[in-house]
Amino acid sequence: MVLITLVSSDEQNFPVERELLKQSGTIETLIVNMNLDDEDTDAAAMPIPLPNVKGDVLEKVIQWMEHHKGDPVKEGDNEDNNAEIVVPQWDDDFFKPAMYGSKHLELTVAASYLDIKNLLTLSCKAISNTFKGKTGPQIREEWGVPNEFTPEEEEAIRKENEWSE
Amino acid sequence: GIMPTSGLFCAEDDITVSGQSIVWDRGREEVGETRTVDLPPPPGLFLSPPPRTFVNVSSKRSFGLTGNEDDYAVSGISFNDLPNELLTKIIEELSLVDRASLAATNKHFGELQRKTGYRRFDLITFGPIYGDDDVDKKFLVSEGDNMQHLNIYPNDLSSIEDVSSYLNQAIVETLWIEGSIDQETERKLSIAFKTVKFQKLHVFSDNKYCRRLASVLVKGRKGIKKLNMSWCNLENNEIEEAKKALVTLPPITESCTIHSKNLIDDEILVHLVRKSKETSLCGTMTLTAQGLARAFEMVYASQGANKLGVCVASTVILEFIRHLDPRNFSVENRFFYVIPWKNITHLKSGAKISYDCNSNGLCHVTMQLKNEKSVL
Repeated sequence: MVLITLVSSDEQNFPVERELLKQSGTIETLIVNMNLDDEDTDAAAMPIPLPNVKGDVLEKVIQWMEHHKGDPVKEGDNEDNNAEIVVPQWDDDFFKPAMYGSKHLELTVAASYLDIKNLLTLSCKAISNTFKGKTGPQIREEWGVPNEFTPEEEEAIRKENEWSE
Repeated sequence: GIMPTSGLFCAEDDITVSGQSIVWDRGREEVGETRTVDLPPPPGLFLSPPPRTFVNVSSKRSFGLTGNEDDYAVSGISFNDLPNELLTKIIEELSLVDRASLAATNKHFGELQRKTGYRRFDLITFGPIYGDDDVDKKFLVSEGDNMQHLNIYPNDLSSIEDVSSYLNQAIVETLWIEGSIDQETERKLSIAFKTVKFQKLHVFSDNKYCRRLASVLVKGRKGIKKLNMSWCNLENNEIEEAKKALVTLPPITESCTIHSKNLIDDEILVHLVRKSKETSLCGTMTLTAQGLARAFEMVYASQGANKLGVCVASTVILEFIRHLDPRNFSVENRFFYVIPWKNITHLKSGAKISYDCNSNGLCHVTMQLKNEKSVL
């Protein structure tokens, strides 16, 4: 089993099975460009630095990839697929404990940076699920969004959105 | 383990970059190694040998993101800090009602929500204003908990940029177009619906521009479940164009219903049976017994539609029956109340043809696989 070492921004090293990394477009490109797939290359001696991902986040990303090992990797946006995305139970359980904190957001940013399409899609969908049936003030409170509106502006928005009540 | 290369900045524990190539010397045990890659360097690549401590992900923690902030070395980002690209992805997944709620939290989110396409609707209609329509709610109406309806009236198209921007990449289950339109409206609707992804298209108008709009909307589309169109009253110069549009129809995964007059011939019939799971053709047709036989062969051999409804002259169905091989088919007479009809069964597959004829010599024929439930 070929192991490739990922190095987080805080210089933690994560030896990861080569196969898992196919889920990440960014790392896959690096592996190809660095010829780490060559038999002659000592992949273990050539760590891949990920300066935008902290160790604790990278650890979660790897956990997620391990669970989804063997899943088909999404190739770009599927324009023909109109179906609404459903977050599977395992992923929901994985995301839920940290949903309203920074951890889930950091995981989402990491998924984007690492180009892990399935993780990014599910992670964004999990966030959007938290908005279901909530009012603006409720979303503000749960996600810590500052209220920039004057009372007059807020009243105007409420009137504009009367159709949705 | 760092070796400066000619004319390039090189600092300890840092990267050495030379335009389109990167040259570095990495410390590997006592020996070291030099590699040259004729590609731009990967972001953040550094040269120091890997630290000797490794994190074993599987054994360190059980699955799940922990909610304990202490687990994170640096305090993280907030929802407001997410890049627009990610916020847009999140917004795309929201229903219209939830988008409105998010827009009401903050000016930035409001602006982003307005610019983000991918709105989801159950139904978008375009048509004339009827007496009981509330035109003040013409552009956005939500009915019930989960139904997202959008009614577009002809006057809304005066600002086609606004409409097409609002409908950019919209996802709709049913797109419903009715009433006569003029050439300019056809052009505007083509723009408005250009990127709209629909599953079902109903065009209840036999207006020339509406027909042309329908052809444009289905051309090259994938994922269409239902198609319901009218192609009657064609002008002579339209017939060839209409036939071309029908033979280039994309696959219809559920049902295709076409009302037409003297447009469906054997070639189009076979094409439609091949492309759609259920095909229902109304109006007069120029079909032959051979075309009917080929269509039935496709139905019982499961080479296309598993249900076909079609109208033919009684002479055509009689000729079709005359040519059936009695070793492969059985024919029985039945009555539905007082109306006589016949049932022909393909013995091997169990597929059936039922038909009844009216006094004008026109027969309505239904072909279907055994026990096939209709989705029409």
